[in-house]
Amino acid sequence: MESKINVANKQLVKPIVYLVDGDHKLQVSLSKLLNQNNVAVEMFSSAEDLLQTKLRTRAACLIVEVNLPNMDGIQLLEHINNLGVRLPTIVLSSDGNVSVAVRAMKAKAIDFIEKPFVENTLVKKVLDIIELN
Amino acid sequence: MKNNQTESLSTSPMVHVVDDDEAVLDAVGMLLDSIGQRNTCYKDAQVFLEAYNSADFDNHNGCIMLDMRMPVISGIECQHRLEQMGCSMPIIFVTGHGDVPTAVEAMKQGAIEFIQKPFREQQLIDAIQKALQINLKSQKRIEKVQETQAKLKLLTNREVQILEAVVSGKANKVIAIELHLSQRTVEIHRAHVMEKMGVKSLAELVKIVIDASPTE
Repeated sequence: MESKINVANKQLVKPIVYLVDGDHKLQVSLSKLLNQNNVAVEMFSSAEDLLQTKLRTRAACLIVEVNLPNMDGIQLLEHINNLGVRLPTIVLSSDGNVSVAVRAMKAKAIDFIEKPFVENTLVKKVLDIIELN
Repeated sequence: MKNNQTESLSTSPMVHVVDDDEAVLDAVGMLLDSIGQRNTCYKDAQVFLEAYNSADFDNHNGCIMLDMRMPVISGIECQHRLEQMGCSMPIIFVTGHGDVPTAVEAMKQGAIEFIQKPFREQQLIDAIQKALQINLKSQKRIEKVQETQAKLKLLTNREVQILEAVVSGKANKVIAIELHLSQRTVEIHRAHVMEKMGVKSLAELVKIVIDASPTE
């Protein structure tokens, strides 16, 4: 009985990672990898989708692609900052250049990763962020 | 090293320009002169770091413009060393060979701007003005903290005890019992603490003490 409660508690405190990226393949493989590491993933394909969700307190981090329809990933990050929400963010970019990277870092991104990247590197960064929290 | 002083006021901020390209140094120096901004040019990071370590160097009031690719000591390396030496001046990177990982690394280390050559003059001026503003704000904060710390040194051991108890939210009655004093004595100490710290209310006292305590 007791162990059951513990398991339930563990399920509850499982950290959530928000992933905002239109690339379906990436969504699937990243969430699989993160799930294996006991991290829940919620996926969105646009900034607007994420903003319509209520951000939860157990949200551990945000992974966001720069190139999104309408509002781009960095604008989304700036918007979240303006709301006064502190959400550690890793920015991904498929056509990264220096000015985009600088924009992301100025918007207080923790890291900026160019695609293609090794998925395990990203997972490790996410786990580091969760640990720091 | 060339010293372009357009103003002799020692209080006006100094822009330190570090670039191994003489043409860039000249152009930036002239640009800054034209807007009446004090500036000093250095032909590489070594020369700059030597100057930084000299006794008469004002290492608070100003900002630093660093070229990324320089012989012997790169811009990033220079940034690392400045950080180790506790430099509080904001850094602007300017580079002709920017790549994403370098830019990300520089920003992670706390650079406030990363500009690629060729750049518009206004872009640099904006960045420098922003850097100087940030510098001014942090200067003011540091000054306040130092002021508070100086005042804290004037307190007696007993007063420090009382201050800590007051700031942690304990009532006079509780403090009196804990320190085996009469309530009246605590009140007197407390009044002395307020007077020495130059504050009129408990809220003010708590604020300046918290502001001055080291952040982890």
